[in-house]
Amino acid sequence: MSEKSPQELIQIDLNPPRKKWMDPSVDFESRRGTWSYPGGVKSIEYMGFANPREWSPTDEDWKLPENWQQIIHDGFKERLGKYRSLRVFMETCVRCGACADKCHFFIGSGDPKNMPVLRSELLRSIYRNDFTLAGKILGAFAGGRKLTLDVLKEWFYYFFQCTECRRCSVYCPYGIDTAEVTMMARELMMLVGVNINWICEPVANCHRTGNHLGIQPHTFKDNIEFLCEELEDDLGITVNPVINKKGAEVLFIIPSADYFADPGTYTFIGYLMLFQQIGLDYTMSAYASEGGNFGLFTSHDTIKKLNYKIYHEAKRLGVKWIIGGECGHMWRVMHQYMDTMNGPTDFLEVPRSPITGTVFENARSTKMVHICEFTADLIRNKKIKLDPSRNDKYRVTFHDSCNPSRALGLFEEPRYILKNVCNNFFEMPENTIREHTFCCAGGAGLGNDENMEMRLRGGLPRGNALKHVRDAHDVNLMSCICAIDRATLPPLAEYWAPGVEISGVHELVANALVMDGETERTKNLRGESLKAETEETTDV
Amino acid sequence: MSLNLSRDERTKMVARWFDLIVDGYPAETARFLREQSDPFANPVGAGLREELAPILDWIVDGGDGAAVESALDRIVRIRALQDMSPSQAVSFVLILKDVHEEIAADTTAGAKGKFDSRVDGALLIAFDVFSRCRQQVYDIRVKEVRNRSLKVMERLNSWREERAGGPSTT
Repeated sequence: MSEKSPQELIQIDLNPPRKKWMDPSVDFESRRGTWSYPGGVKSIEYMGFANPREWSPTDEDWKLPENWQQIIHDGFKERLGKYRSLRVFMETCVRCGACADKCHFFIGSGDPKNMPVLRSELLRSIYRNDFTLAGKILGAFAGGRKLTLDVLKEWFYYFFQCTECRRCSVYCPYGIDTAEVTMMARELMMLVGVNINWICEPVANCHRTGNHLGIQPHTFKDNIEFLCEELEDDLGITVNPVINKKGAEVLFIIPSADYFADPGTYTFIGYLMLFQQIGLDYTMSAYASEGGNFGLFTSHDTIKKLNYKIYHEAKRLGVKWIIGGECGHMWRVMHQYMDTMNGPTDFLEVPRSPITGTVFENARSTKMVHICEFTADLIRNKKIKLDPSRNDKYRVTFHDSCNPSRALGLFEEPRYILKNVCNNFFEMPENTIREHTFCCAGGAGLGNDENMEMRLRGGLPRGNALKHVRDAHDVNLMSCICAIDRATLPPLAEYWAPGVEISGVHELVANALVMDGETERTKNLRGESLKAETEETTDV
Repeated sequence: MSLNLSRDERTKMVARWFDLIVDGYPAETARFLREQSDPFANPVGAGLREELAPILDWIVDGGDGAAVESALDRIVRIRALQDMSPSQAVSFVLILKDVHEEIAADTTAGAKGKFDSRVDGALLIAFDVFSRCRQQVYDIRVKEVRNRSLKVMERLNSWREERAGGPSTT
């Protein structure tokens, strides 16, 4: 039996502070639940990525190419030349600590290497050692260190503990984009075959079929029709989904989770009901059947490759402009990479709502409008009739999804919509919303079940703020505009704020939407009574 | 059965207890937990700051078991997920015995024994909470996997039924 005193017992073993942080060591075996499984051979081979093999982070030997250090060194050098931002981010940090306590993984885990500054140092120390004069001469004295296998293992552990949410970047006085640092580290690891399956498989699927789930066009169509039939059976509402229609005015791009997994499916049906009601001439594409782009978590080349299908399908189908659904990182790619990677286009028109006449000047270059911008404009111009009392059983708060908020600046439109379709709306505390929003802790490829412990740790700050509004205002629904959120927030809420459900914004729009010729609505999109259970009991 | 601890002693004990728990974390983390007072920027520190006093009051005065369980839950729920062994996760309750010995004016064996035995009671509740939290993590993981495949199965079955009873065969 242990002879430890209580004070000794309580000491937490998070290596860095007791040893120097530069001495890396990660015990994967004892930290199960906090890392993701490596990329499967099939997906790696399909994509032509490096070093396909069976391996596990718990293995001593990661079966790396013999010259793996040289490969990473060369890859680093190439990227420093190619991306000026990388060189700036490697050089400018003054370790002021402004970012240190802003990461949800640090707040939840207490592990100092989850401080963004220290996470970046994992890469920066190699940069110093390999590419600066001081580092080459003075080594560790100048903050440099050699790229050893232990360092690489530490990279894998901590760079796949960053959701690229960019909250830390909001506070950086130099504007260092830590997400880009993580992206580069992941890109370098990809060169030697160090990656995770939750990213590689969706990437391979997306490349093959156009969506993360590997759904082929006929199944895409079947699935959407299935959801529409369910809607007809449950609520007696008929919608006619439009797929691959040439000459439609608008191409509508959605995250695949919206037409495949609850609660995203309710949001998906919400989009279709809205389009049906306003008579929008739109089409979905069975090939560009995914808004999400896991290339963002793989490499710049892969982002470009997977993103290309959107403009390609827009051209093939001959549409005038594009609406994008409630997807998260699609908007980071669209807003910050698409235009230079695959645009600007010469075959699309500046988006103009055919219903209100509003020209979306903000999308003049990309030609792609967020559905919340589109719907908010409809509401503002009184083009749709809404009955917010149909959402009265819900007491709603709004989670600013990281990418639409911090990468796109979309703060007001979803709130404007929610306040028009619900009677009970409550904000979470100021420092947890808008650009300060806390991540769901499952983005950037980390939303897999084997990583659940880390997701729940990182989910603490969001869960804590959610619990606060649940307790203070009886909030029972958190709405959001990201498909990954809709998949990862339900477990987070179950652990940290039980009793709160998760929805998309357009699910609530559709609940409130008064459609032509509709019969009296008694149920919401989930097939539940419009009234809260307690009210029903009182009625009886 | 009430123990004799003044308000002043209790305040001192909570402060010392807080420090010892926080010092269990790495130095950089401990500084953050201690200095950041915003409860939404520092939920771990806030949980300790707000719940240690009611836990100590329960240990000293007795009272509502559900209330102390909820206070322990707020702290243990977090520690159940952090990089700690199960014993580390609940050991913060045990160190209160040393804090008591250090600060309490009444150092008689009777008072000490009584206090220690109440701490043991709180430790057992903390252990229950810890086990429940861990079970919940496993349940959540299983549920996520099950929901993912269940929906696919439901749809496959529905298509199969449709095909079997479709117009061409009837």
